[in-house]
Amino acid sequence: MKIIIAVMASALMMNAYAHEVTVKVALSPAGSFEAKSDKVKGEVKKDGAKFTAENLWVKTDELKTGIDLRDEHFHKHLASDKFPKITFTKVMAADGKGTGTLTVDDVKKDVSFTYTMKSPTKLEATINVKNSDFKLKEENYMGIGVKDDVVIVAIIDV
Amino acid sequence: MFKSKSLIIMSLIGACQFFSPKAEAYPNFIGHGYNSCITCHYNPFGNGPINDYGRAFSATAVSSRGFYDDNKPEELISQESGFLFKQPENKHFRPQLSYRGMLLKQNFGEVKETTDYIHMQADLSLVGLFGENDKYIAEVTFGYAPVPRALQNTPQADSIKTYRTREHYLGYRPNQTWGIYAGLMDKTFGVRLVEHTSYSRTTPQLTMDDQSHGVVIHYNTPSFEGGLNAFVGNLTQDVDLRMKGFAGTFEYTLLEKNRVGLSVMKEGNDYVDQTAYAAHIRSGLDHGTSIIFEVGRVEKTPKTSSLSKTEYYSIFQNEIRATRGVYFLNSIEYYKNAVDKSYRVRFGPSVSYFPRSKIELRVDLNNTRNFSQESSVKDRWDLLAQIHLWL
Repeated sequence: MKIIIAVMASALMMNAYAHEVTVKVALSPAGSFEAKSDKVKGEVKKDGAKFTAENLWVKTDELKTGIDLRDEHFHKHLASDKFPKITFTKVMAADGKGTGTLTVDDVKKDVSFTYTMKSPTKLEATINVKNSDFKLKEENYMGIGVKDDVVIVAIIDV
Repeated sequence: MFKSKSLIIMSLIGACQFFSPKAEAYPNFIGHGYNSCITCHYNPFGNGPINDYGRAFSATAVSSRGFYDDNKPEELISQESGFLFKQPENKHFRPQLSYRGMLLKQNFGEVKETTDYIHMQADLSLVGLFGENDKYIAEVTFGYAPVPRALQNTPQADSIKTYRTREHYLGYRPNQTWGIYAGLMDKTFGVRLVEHTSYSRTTPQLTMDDQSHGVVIHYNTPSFEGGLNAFVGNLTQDVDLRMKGFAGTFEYTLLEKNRVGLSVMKEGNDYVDQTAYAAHIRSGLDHGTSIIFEVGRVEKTPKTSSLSKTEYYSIFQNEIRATRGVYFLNSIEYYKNAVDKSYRVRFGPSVSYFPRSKIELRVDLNNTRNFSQESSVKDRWDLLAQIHLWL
């Protein structure tokens, strides 16, 4: 019985923080792809109209683009073997705007973002970053490159 | 005399379009995030040989890996997508062989069912790439082109060359935004579907033998893509038959994986003037799943008679990626002749299976219904089984 309760509690806990993230990457000269994960971890606290989070993170290998080979390239590009997590720390948000520290490949960058409430318990945050901000090298596979501007969209349970 | 000649020419042009090959663009791949043809094709509007990235994408994302060893790395499958299963040995030349054949059963299931096998296409293409970022490009495709079914066993068939080039051009692309191409190419109008017998291609006469010598200017940004095409007709045709004019197609990106577009084309020869307009939408819904809708209007005015003709068409396609290597396609098409108020509706499902890199198998089941005030024609089912190979 204790095991069942523990499993149910665990399941409820997981549901409580079912954050999702989509990394939108533009290709050069044309096209785009998205790397997605619904396994973003971390707790967001709500205090009136303010939101805070100490640490939100996702395993780099859990970002999937829909094509196995592209996943391999994407994870290699982000050096997932050396830096298995992408983290977003010291997050503070209110009135549709927020700030936080994004860490990719051990490079930290303070970023700002905007958000909208999609429901009383979900917010959608959008962060615009550049690959070059995190010292990620330019990529080109068989003539098709990756543009510097990247958009990160996160659906956060609050 | 001229009136009858112009009518015959118009009829032949129309008749030639059915059950003939060519067209290799997959605009439905906007569902994979590829909203522009230039990502995978050398020709920025599709058709013709695919580039290295297009080959790799086809091998590792479109094609199944069911016939590969489980341990075979995707990177190796990608590398084997090159010509003759090898990585390109030099940076300047890209050859490609392509074959399409089709088993066609017309009036499928009826007493008068007929069965034919058609070698639709057997082409050798060669692309030359030079300069920084391959800004200079030369392409030629030469191969077998069957006598259109409507002309087989007729005196005209003897004058038709069954080996010829359908595309050759020189291109200059100084940057990723602009490109200019000159030579024999398809005209830039509407959505360049792989189904060249769709009403959206046959009505404005943009099928497998309707390429024209001319110049194409291509403009491409993430939010806007357009092409202007001035052409003088296919120079291998008799001068009086060459359709001269201009065409343009323009697409605007809405909400990332959706594009709305407008097209216009005005052309004419010694016998007929033609003006066409079209609007279309392409939407990528999910990974590999998409919808396409196009509606168009075509006016054909013979120069030697007052028998002008206005036609309308529309097409809706929904492509669904069932799993890697398998795509379902549902199509609904409509065609109307405003002169006699007759119209046709064609619909049907199809399934494409890419068992491994460089092989596509496809089966279509089409139902065609003709509606006319003057005659009654029974519905017709056609079964089309196609094989497409490329090296």
